[in-house]
Amino acid sequence: MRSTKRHNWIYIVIWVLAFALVNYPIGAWASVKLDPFILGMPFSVFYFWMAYSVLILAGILLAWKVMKD
Amino acid sequence: MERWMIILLIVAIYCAVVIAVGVFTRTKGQTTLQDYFVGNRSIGAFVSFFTYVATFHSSFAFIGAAGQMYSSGIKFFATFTSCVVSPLMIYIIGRPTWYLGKKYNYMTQGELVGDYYESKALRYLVAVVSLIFLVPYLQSQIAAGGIIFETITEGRISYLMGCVILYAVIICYILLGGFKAVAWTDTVQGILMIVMIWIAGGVILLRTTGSLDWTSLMQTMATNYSDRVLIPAEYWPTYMTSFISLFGISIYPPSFQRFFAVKNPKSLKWLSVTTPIYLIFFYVPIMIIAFAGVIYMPGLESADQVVPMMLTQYASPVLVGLVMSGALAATMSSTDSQLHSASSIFTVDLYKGVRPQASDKKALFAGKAFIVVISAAALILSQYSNALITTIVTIALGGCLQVLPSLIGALFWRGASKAGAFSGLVVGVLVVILTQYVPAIQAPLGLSSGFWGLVCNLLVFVVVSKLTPKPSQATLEKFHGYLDQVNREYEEPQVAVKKEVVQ
Repeated sequence: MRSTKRHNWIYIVIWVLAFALVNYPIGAWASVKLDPFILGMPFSVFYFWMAYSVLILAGILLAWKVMKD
Repeated sequence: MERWMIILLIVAIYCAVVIAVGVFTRTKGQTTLQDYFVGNRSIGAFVSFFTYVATFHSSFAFIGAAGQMYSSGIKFFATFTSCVVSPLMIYIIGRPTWYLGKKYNYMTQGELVGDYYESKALRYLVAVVSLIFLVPYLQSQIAAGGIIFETITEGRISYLMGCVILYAVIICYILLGGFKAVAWTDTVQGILMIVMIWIAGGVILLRTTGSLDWTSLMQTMATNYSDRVLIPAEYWPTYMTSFISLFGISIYPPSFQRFFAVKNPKSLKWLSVTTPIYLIFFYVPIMIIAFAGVIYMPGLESADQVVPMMLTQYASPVLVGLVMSGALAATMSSTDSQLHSASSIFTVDLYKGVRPQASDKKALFAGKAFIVVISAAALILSQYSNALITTIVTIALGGCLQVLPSLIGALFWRGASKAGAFSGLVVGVLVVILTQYVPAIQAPLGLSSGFWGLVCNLLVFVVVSKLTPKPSQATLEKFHGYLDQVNREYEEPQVAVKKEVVQ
């Protein structure tokens, strides 16, 4: 990855946010909610598929914009 | 024709097809070690994508994941973090590994690490650790093959015989074809797996609920089995750290070998961000089958049987045969890569380490003989373990993860030393074994053995490295100097382009 000190900090912040999205505290909050049902799924199930899909898109964007080669 | 015979016939046709793919894609003529173990570093993006995901997706995905969701619901989602994070390791670790492999002809982790730390002992240690932790994974794959054959033939083919059939088919195409055969059969298997699991999920949903709308299935789960669609607070420490243990996926020797085998680093970049798509969406139909199993087939003796049992109950014999071929594909695509990787570790790190003058022909013969021996050992062990496939896989990945600190030293940290890498690896492996098997200290705080092993390993690695001599200046330049040069060569044209744009 192209790296300057400022960039490194941005990557760390992105990583912590991504981690929080599917782990503690945001993921933990979502994982105990049954309602509302979205697309036929309990909120807990829907949330995780959605969050991981967002992370995959973010990864593709990262590769396109930031990674070397 | 009886139902089980139709299913078996389709599975037999599938086995014949993968053997044929192995035969037709093998390297013709005189085979060198580079051909046999890393496909002459010529694997393109398409094949590398499927060989990576198919290697990664073992029977654990088809059988173990469904069993896990059947018994404990969406707690299984904890492993998804690794599906997104560990592919990033493909790029972070894989890119420098590819450059070093290409420049100095490395084919295994042990070769790279041993060369960096100027230590044959460390090379042997990495090889032995990798082999030790490859065996339980292999064992779990062969066991899964046995379960599949036994279930689809309603016990007419015994578990042992099922294991033997799987073993024989895989041995056949690996011995014939080497890495290219493994990669191409993985490609066929990877495509078959994802197509078949989606068809299976759809058919089971349709047959159990009467429509392709999963709302009623989910509502029943939320009403009657809410514990399976929620994650309790006390599970969070395990949830949050389980992915660390699963970082081992990228360090696991069969996955790592793909870093040496691809044609260029660009393939690795796109591999790292596209593999999660396959990984995450593979589990949608798995979840449907597992949840349908919870409702319509509760109380299974073994949770790992949910996919074959649901199919046998609700699908036509032709579909069962096709989907079970997909399940076998998942098993075979990992087993072949593991056997092939074990063979390369034995041949390159141990055999060539002891007999550096041996010809490629002799070394290849030794490597092929080792494939037969290690798979026979895994076949025997598979008859004595009834642990959940997921548990076995977690131990194996946690063990292989312990090579990570020494790799970080070789690729990124000039301060690492031979003594640091050696002692860290020994401590890490011991901690994994102790926290896994000694009841008094089993999984402290509910965290996985791989996690504790890595923490202790890193600590020892850093402290000992600070206190002991580093590799010679020539070696530091050979590795870090070369990687710095590669990065400069990439960055300078980028800066020039930016300047032109500004002007």
